[in-house]
Amino acid sequence: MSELFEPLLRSYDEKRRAELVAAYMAVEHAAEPVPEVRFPALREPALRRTVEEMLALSGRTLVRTAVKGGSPRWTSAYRDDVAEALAADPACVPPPDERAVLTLILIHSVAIPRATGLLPDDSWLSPYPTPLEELRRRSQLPIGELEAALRRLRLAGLVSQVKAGPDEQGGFVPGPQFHRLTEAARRRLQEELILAAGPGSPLAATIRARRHSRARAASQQAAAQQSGAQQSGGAEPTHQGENE
Amino acid sequence: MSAPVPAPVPSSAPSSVPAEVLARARARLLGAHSIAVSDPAPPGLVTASDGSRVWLLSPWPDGATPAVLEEYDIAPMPLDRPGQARRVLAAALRCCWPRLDEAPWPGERVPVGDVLEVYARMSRGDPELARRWATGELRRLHDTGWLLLDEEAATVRPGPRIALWPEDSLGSLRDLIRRLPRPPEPLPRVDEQAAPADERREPDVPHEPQEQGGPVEDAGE
Repeated sequence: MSELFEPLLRSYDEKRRAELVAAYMAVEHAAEPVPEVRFPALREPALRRTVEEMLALSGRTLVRTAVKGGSPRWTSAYRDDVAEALAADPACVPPPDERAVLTLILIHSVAIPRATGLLPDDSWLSPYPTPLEELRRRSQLPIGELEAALRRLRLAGLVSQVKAGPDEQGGFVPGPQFHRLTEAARRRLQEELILAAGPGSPLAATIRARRHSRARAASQQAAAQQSGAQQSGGAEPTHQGENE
Repeated sequence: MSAPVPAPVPSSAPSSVPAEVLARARARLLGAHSIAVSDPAPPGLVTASDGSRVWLLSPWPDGATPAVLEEYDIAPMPLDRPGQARRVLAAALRCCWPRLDEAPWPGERVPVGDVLEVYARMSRGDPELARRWATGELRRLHDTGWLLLDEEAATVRPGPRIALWPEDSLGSLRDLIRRLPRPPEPLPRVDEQAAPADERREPDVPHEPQEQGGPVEDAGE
């Protein structure tokens, strides 16, 4: 079952190997980023590189999360280049109703509290739930479809449900998957949120202009690479360079 | 999630990611999705086949499972009602895994109503309410690849994730399943074990299992 990992794990003794496997499973399956101090394979840079290589086999990478006066924590995410390729594959993109519901939750639970200074700039997790009624009104989805979309979003860990308390309204907040964002993904999401919440704002215009010029530069680079590859007869596919 | 998924990413995808890495990332993202037996499975994935389809699953190193998180006291991804999900899965296995000395995968396709009935008998309180809870749970178990639910035909069978359970971990599960209430239709005597599921299915649903709701109504008696 582990032939995939064997070339990476082969050289380690049993103890190290078990530590690597534990760290890999922890960053892949824990709900939240795991503390570095608990996992030797995350603490030691050489072992951590191997964990990173294990993740890279499936297009994943390690993400170090913000330290709040404590020890660093780690989780895993799709590498940016892999995320981009997956997003171009229609089968890998959630259907429009799920995306619409998730966007509404991000606007209500993150963008609005952030704009009023209630949430720090870099947090995608929020204690401010979006009420079901709000989702129903704004999404204009029939209740059955809305509930099915919420069920799938919750299963995917993209949305969490908050139960109503005596003084608080229940609803939905961004789920634990929002820990799993690389720096570039956080930036992109931030931009998407600005485009969704204030499409006519000057900031949105700046983002669109920047993307436009970036896309143009990328297509020029791709064209240059393609002509280079044709000349050299194509390159051997290898692992991509490590993310930071 | 396990609905039919188009063929793997076209190789022309504008990406420098190695194709096998992208295929594994795709399989991870799609959960337990299936391809035709005749299609090549990307290397490095675990596969579970029922003879006509092959399900692609992400491999775990050295046979580890997410249960390793317990050793470190680390919370796994949250489930809404984990106890209920486990009980509904157990009720489904009670019905879909009639020959306990064999492997649970691929198991038998059974009417959803049988599973709801077993679950209702396992539960305290209002059996109608229990059936309704279990119906939602079956959908979630389907979405996560633990069961394969066909809502049109109102049937359910084991999901490909069950194929990953190592044989040596099944002992206590077999004991547990044996102790659960039996499915509503009387289970066959031991010497007839091979026949009943086929007998039960064939007269009602000759080829396409398209009878809507029939099995559920039967089981609701």
